[in-house]
Amino acid sequence: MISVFRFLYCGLLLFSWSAEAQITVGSKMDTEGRILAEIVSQIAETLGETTVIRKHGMGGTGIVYESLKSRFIDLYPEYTGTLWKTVLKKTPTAQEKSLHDELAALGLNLSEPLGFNNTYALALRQEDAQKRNLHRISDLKSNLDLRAGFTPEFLKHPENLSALEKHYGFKLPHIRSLDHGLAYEAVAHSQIDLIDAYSTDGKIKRFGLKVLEDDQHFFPDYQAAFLVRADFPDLYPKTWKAIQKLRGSLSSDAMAGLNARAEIDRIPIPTIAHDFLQKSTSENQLSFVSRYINLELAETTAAHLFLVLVSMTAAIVVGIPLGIFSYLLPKPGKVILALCGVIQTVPSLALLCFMIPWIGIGVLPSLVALFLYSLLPIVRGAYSGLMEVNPRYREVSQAIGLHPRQTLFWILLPLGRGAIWNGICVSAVINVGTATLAAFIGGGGYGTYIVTGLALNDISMILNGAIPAAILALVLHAILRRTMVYPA
Amino acid sequence: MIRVHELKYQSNSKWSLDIPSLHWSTSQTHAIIGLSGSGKTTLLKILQGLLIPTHGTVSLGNLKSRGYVIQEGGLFPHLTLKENLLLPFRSANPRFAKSWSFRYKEEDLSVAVKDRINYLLDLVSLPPDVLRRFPHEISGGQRQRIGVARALALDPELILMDEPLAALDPLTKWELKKDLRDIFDKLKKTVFMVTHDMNVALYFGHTLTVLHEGRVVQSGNFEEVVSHPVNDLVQRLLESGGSVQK
Repeated sequence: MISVFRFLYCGLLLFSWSAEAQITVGSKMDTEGRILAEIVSQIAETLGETTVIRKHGMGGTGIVYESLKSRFIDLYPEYTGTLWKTVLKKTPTAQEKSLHDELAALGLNLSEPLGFNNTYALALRQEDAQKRNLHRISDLKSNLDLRAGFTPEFLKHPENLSALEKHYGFKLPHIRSLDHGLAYEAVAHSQIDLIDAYSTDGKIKRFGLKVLEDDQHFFPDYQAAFLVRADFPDLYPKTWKAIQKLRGSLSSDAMAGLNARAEIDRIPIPTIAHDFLQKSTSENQLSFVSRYINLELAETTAAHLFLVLVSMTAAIVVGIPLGIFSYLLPKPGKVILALCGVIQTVPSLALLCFMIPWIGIGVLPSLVALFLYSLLPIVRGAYSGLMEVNPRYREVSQAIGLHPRQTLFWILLPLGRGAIWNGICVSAVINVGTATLAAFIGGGGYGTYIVTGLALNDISMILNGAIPAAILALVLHAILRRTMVYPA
Repeated sequence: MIRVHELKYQSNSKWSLDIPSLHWSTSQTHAIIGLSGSGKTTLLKILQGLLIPTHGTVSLGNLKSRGYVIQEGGLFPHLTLKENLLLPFRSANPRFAKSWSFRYKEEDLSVAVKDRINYLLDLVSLPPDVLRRFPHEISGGQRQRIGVARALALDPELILMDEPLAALDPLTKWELKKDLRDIFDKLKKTVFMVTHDMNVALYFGHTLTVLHEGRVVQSGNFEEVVSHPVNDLVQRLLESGGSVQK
């Protein structure tokens, strides 16, 4: 119970962004982004100008960028190439100044580049490269039988794959869309042969892959830096100065080394960041570690239960009256039922993303999305529960003079409670499963393990989230079933 | 006097109920008989006020309150017999009318209501301890008796019954039939009884109204109909009732 309150308290803290001396550091889901975000978080904490809220591993570029613009986070690590292509949707020019001007027009600012260039690269298994004598991207022309697995970001953006193919003058016939974390596993197990990777990726060595040389200089620069809103330097001048000092402090090799420590040696990211920042002699290393490893099962369970219970309660409070309304007034009722059905067909992750500009990230939008998803089974349950009551009971109620209100509360609802309860059961099980997606927008819960596990390519970590979620769904279902007393 | 005038009701079936003019006198039991789907239940529901006629008028004269009994009593399965029996009282009492729950507290029941319930149980020949039970825990005949008691709860002036004796075994049926007629004779109520069983119709009815496909084939005093059936259908229905004895 205590952890539930603690979680509530944390949730409140997250949303009181009006407090001035507090910055929220975000990052995408990849290890590199998390390390950079942790480095900057520790720098800020050491300076003591502000307190730091960590929102590391939030999602893709779209989610993190929107969160920055909507003031739900204050900074996050980004790459110049991504800013050009995904955010500005323009062709990059060589001058760095031009990018700063473009960002300034959007009310944004970018820190000095950190030093490494994490550009796109194409990689394949070392032994394939030897066997086929394949070392440069232009060599692909004569190796078109390779099966490629590319990330959606690389695949779909017109300036990535299709431009590359045009630039080099070939077309890969066998291409699949794959999550970045899964692609390494797939290429290592020879399920695919060619993947897109980042040049500082710690996994390239681990999986024995070879990066093809970009011999015709197609890939643009992906210089890493921290993206902030334009007012950040004025609000937090000390922190900003310290960030600017990081200029050139991380070479590609150094970054790949940090990535490998996280992904291969499984060293906690706070430790890696702390080791990197050795000069800031911090005595309380343990507290950093313990803060990051707050994924204690009890706390995660409490967070997950909080999401489920609050969204379910809201869905029941709204859904059952909606079901009753649909039954009493069939014409608007049909519209309500159809609307609830439409909501159910929106992919859950998409629904979460749509809400970022309006409600931001974290617990509240997760609750709203879960509430919307839980609605349909409850509304339908209440509606069909009432519909299934033998019409003669309605007649008898009317004949013995019961008021419509009395008929509803004394007769129809108690008689239809089987289907109503059933709707709640179904909804609860869906809710527990969908709640794992909340972690993608920083909502917490079991999904935190799954998102982290996906990003770190750690299957046992994924199972840490998936198995408790499945057990919770079964337990909740069993409890709800047992509580129900069926009509005779 | 109960009158219907130019009564029309369009139901979902191929015919519609169409009664130009008909009347029945008070303090008597009127049997409405016909084959399945002849419109007899529709007529009863119109008299009860459950259905609004598409055309025409229904006049109940000076009869105000109505009680309604259907097959198997129409008891609510989730309520105890006592809760079932209390519904008309609770609905009529403004103190409970707004309650969210059908549950009641024993101390909230007035002495008058308690006395009335005891009287009703005595009338339908049921022991008081039966009230704790749920409808599925008692026999079909007992359910029907509680149904009758509930219909009589607020002492209505008009009682409408739809197949009250259907789905009962012969012995139970015979006992209930006897008891019901005693009750009606004692209370001198105006009763309409819909049935497809001429035996029952002849046993209860002071008058007989024969319906077929929404039209009145014959309506009149028991003796009149028995001695002068207007057509072959009425004749055959009468024969199905066996030896005509009152």
